[in-house]
Amino acid sequence: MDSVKQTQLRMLKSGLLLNGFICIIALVFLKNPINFVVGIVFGMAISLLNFRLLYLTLNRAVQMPPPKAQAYATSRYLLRYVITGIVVYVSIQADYINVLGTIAGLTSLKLVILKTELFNSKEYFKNILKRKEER
Amino acid sequence: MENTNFIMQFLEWLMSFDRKAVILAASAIGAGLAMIAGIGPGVGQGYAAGKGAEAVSYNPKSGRQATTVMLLGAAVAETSGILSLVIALILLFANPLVNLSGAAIVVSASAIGAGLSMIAGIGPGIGQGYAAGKGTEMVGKRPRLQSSIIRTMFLGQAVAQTTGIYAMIIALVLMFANPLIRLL
Repeated sequence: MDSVKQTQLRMLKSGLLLNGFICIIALVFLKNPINFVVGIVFGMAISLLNFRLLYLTLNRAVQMPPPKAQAYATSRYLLRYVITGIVVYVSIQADYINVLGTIAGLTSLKLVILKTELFNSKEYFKNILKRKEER
Repeated sequence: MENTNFIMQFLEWLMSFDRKAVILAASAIGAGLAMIAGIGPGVGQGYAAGKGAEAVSYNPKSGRQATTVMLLGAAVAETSGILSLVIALILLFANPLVNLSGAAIVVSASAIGAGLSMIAGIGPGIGQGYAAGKGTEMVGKRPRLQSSIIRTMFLGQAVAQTTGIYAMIIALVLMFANPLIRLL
């Protein structure tokens, strides 16, 4: 299993790949793709920075007593929430950023995490309905 | 004789305002309601962090693995908060209901309904955070089973997210493709 740093790098690479793919699709099919691509880049950049902030928060939280860690993680979550709010607000207000692109960029990292961690073992899904003795 | 039906009086008073003002007021209430969903990921991530601290204190050797699981789990738990934030900000800054034709009361109720539906985001937020917390706890106890634990955790989180996505679909339908207006 990878270390935390390797996991972050893996997420970064997968996120860039997914968003690059979405950008190519947007360039081919959308009438005004530049705004959408700017939105994707903006959303993805903030999403990655939020992910890094989450790592720094949790890294510090695990060294605290559990009740203090809960309060600390929740307060930091609110900070990230405000940052995300500002990002979505800016992309709604700015004409040169497509808000749908920003939302896609913000949520793409979650999809990447689910995809890379959930579907990385075929055996798990093959055996999921089998009894223990049959495996 | 004076009308003592307070609901009717309230509705008449409401309709005495300009149509646009009523819709904007309802949108403000809807945006506020949508933001209630922000509670969910906060509680969930707090729980996950608490469990992470517990796991590291029980077994400091597995601290790195526990932090990895917690990081990924907590990042996914944030999703419903972002979705509710998006709906609230659309209601505030890119409101599609203002220019919608049809009865003002239906449009206003749709704005409030869109916000109300996003409250469902509390569930996935807390549930995913709970899954992340338990995953972290178990990885702390049995680090060898990390890959199985993490996969099961994400499977549960992906399923838990669906209700939040349903809620967002209803909110988007109410805002952008309202079927109730056509029924009038």
